[in-house]
Amino acid sequence: MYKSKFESIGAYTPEKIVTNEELLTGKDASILLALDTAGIKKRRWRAQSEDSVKIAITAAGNCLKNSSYKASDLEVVIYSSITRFHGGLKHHLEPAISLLAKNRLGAHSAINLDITNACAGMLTGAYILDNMIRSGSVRNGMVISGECITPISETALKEIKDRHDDQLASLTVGDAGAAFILDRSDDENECIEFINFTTIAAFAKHCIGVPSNRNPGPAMYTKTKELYIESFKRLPVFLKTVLEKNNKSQMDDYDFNIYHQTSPKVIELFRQHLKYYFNWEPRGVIVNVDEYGNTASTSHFVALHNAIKEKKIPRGSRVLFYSAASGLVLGLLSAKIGSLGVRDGAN
Amino acid sequence: MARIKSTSIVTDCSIKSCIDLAVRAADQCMEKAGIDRNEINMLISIGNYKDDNMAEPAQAALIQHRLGMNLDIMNNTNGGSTFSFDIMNGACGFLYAVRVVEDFMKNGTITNALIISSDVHPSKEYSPAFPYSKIGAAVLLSHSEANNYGFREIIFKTSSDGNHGLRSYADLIALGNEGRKEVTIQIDDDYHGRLNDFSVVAARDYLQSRSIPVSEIKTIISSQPVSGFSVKLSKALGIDGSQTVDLYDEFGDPHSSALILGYHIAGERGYLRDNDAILFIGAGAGLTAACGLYLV
Repeated sequence: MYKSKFESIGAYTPEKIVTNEELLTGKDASILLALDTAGIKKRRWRAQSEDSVKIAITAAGNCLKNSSYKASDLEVVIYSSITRFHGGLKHHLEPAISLLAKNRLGAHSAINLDITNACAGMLTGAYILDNMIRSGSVRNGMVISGECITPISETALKEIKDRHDDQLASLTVGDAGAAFILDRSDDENECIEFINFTTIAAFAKHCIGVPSNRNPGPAMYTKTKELYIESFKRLPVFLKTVLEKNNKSQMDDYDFNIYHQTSPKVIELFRQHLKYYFNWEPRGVIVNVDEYGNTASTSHFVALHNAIKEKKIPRGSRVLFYSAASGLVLGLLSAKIGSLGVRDGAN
Repeated sequence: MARIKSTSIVTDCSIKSCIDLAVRAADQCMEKAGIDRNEINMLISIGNYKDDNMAEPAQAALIQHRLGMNLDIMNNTNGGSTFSFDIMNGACGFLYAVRVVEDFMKNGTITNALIISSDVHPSKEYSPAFPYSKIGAAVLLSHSEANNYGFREIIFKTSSDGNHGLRSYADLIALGNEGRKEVTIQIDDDYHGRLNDFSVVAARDYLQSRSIPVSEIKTIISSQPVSGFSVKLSKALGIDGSQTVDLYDEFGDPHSSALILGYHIAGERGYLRDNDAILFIGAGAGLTAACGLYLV
């Protein structure tokens, strides 16, 4: 059986930066305090002309600049965002956005697939594409996501009462696009070692993204505390099971750990929780949510992209990605990173 | 090889929610197959038109929740685990889902996958402008080592001219406070004719490039966007039309459920005999056509 590897990565974040103070002008001071305490300082904000499709395609173009492949070489294109805005705040349903992207990029021979799996979207895309490459049915493919998600912040600003409101998490998000190419690996030192996912559907209703019924635009309603508590309880259990199943893996082996970027405070609490649970100090915990906000399905890959751009992740590093997303989706991806480079000039 | 173990359809008009439709269809499908729900490793929802225009979580997670399927990993005595997500490829969603499931099965990652389809108007009420029928369908795919039945290679053909034929969206600004209650579907006048021609070319290429004689195809099971779509496809391809399952006049356009419904009805009519070769043809917005041979 073949293995896959990360061949290239690209990202795109809009230029405009919005700080907590700018976002929350005139709002209850407890909300600002809650965001400050969580460690979120700012987020990127879409320009008037930007939507999910544009953001995704820009990131995909940047990924191709960092790749040895041309668009016409791609055998699969998977669109994996939560948000599907196209042409303003039109929640686009048909045709598939992956078709729009494939045509725009010139990936004319690619199988185009639209998936949706909350903030686990891109990692779910990796899981699907990795299985396609391992079976030998394709040699390469690209996973893309464009999260135009600050519209939920705009709705929350109109509707939120205080820091206990179930739209508080909607103020922690930022817009971003990300894309990566996986291809067949012939090198054991540069490959995806394993990916495992499970859906803990007992908590499927803890985070719902749906249009608001009080104002125009999308909204997200989250039982934030419960979601953290329940995922904190289960992720180490899942991790232990998965590591045992993939018996060569020890937690100490990981040079970098990339969690879903919800907030610096939650990431730190989770790091401590893992340390307590496994009696192990996680190394290389990457945090960029303070600067970019929670960029939903793109968060792991915006973080990876920026770390690679800053040359923080040397060749041969082992990286463990942790997914904890609405659903409740838990996932783990273990990879040895090779010669990923970033030349795209993305912010 | 992924083999169809059982199918089910739900056409009960009193059911309003697409989740309710999906749950009923899934329950019936698993009961028919005699499988314990905790043995399902992967659950894929392929409906595009969801209750309230919901974007998060995956509809499949909400369906898994209602089915009580491997709900938690804590205190889970059966050791099972289900992974749920949605595929949003419209009328061709079923064949995209099978394409995904096949590779997971080939790699030994999963054994049983449940694919569920249901499309409803976001208001969950009847709307004359909504072209799709309220149908829930489910299919259980199980891995089989035998190579003489199950799905053969599935191919996809899409057009690159930007003439999508059908576009749909919920304009959340224009809809004001009613964003959960409406969807716009624009269909070009020549859409169905173009789609039929496009699907014929895709199916003909599929058969010719794989040296599959038309005479070996017992029947086709296709999308049903308009009356007579399947009959026209059969004729153009030169396939014996005596067993063509053309269901629009009875069911309307079942959209993402069409291929599962077609297979289910073909079975009820006695058209599916061992070793028969069935050609699935999905056809929808894009334009998009998907073809896959299935050996019963």
